[in-house]
Amino acid sequence: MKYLICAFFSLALAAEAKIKVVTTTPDIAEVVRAIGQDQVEVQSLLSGSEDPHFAEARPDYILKVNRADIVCAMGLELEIGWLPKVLGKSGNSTVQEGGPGSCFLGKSVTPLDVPKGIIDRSLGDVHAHGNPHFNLDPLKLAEGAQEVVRVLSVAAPSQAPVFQKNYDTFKKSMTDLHAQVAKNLPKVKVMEYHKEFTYFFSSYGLESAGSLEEKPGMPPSAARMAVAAKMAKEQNVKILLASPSAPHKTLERFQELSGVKVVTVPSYVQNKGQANSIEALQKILGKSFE
Amino acid sequence: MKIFTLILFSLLSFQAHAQILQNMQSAAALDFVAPLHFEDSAENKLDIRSAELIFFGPLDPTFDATLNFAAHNEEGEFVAEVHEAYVGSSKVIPNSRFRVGKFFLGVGRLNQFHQHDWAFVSAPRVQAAFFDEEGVADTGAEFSTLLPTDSFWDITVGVTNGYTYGHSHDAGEKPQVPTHYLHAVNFVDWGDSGALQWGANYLGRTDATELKTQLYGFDFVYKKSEGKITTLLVQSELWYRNQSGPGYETTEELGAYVFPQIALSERLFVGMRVDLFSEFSRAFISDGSRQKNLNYAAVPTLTFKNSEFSLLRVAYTYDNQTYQGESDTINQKLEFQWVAILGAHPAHSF
Repeated sequence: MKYLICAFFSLALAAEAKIKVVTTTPDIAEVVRAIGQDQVEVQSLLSGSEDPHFAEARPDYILKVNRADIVCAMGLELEIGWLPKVLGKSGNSTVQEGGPGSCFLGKSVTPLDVPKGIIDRSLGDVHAHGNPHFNLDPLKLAEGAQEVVRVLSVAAPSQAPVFQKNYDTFKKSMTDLHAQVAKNLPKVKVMEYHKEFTYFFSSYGLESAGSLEEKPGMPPSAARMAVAAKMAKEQNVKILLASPSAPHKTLERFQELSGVKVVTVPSYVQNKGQANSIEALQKILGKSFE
Repeated sequence: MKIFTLILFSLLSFQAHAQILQNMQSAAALDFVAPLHFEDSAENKLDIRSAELIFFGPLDPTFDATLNFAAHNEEGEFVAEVHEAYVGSSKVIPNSRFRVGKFFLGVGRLNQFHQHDWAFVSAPRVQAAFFDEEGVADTGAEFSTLLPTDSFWDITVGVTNGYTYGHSHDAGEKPQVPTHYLHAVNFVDWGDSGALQWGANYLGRTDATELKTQLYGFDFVYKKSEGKITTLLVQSELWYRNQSGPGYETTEELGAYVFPQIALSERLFVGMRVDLFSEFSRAFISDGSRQKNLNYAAVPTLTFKNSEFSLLRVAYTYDNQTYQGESDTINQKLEFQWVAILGAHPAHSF
């Protein structure tokens, strides 16, 4: 009888066991929740206020990855400075790159800004596989979500049709959100501090005059500021978007020189504050044009 | 040096042409240092402190490998040596990782980082005295495991040959007890107020002459970050060393450093290192009574990070060695450093 009771509880526990998913950003966490629903338990390593490129391999990240069944990241080298170290120190073979629990959304996205010709550091901290900031385009995020369906289906094959159905619903919600935001966006000329709003501009058909950073990861020099301000005036740029990690003094100086409205907005979903979902973040970005 | 160059070109050309090595990452690190000693100008010159070549990547689906050559200017000639060459894996034993080969021992803080990755130019006295300036690399095996606890506890144990300890160009002698060590690391997250990693260390060895060395230490790293900037860094190590053996007088030494650093901007950082070191066992020759002594130093350091791949640094050192009953010995120097990283993206360690 004892064995029967134990077996019953073991089976019950197994049935209850959720797939533990760790994501690098809250944006991906929301995607995984939408597709995995009650089959997954999701936590994000970053809170959304950090710059995911400059994050560090913190020991608490290593611990969370150690306990995970799946690790989902943006990919396209966004997390290259720290995620490989976190994975390597986690002692979790399942989630290592190429393992059954490894998931890079960037793998199923057609990226923008793929550099051509010789790629070296004279171009700045350039991402060889293309711009990794696709999370600000709901349609691209839906593209990337296919990778989440794939990895969840590997973890729980019997639930694959459910994940696919949830994905279809998620994709529709992203398409609807895109249409809703697009309706209210004026078609003005735009700029960005770092090329992290490129997908947003491209997706909504906003013509971009480029980034204030001449080269990725390199703060603009005084000469670059002057040239960019002159160009922005000439091209009638209406707004420059920057994330909170951009240097405030540089942005203020650019606004003074160019007369262009500079708006600081989150570039990732955040655990705290108003940009706490993909939809909320898209609406905040849309409102910044008012 | 010829061998070093030959290996470099062989590996690079092989990497360029062989599809099989596509996933092998390579990087080179150049560490230029120019010290200006106030008291003695004999060593005042711009020098390449080290030129390193690092190759790393998956060996097969199970193992990873790392190969690191470093060349140092030793009395006018660049001597290249294998700093690290090891094979390891985090895929074989659950929750654990191991490495076998030659590597910097996984103890303390500075000992685990190459000099060009330090937050300051030169080693504090405690590092130079106990870990031979650059750190102790040796051949052996190291095993690390994450404990199944709610908080982060990472335990590292290692055993290495111990024929030599620190920088050496000979084979050394078989020790009585090989170098063995333990490093337990814990992590505390205070949310927006920052995070602390601290570790407790033990290292032991008995050399061929029966000199027994025991080291006990703590290492601390506190960081507070905003966006992409570490706005506050506090790094510290505290070490105690005891040496004894037949025919040796027992010596006891205690040393520490603390280095707080703040960000002035996205690229500019200022810090102040304070070093302390004392030989507890030092005695007057006349009557054998304890001779109080303290070596202290203040090292303000300014760092300009041009990018993730190059930085410029300037540091001023005021170093005072005091011995009871003797006049102080003061040394001052300015140091300029330029670090350049070519190739693979450097890792962002906590």
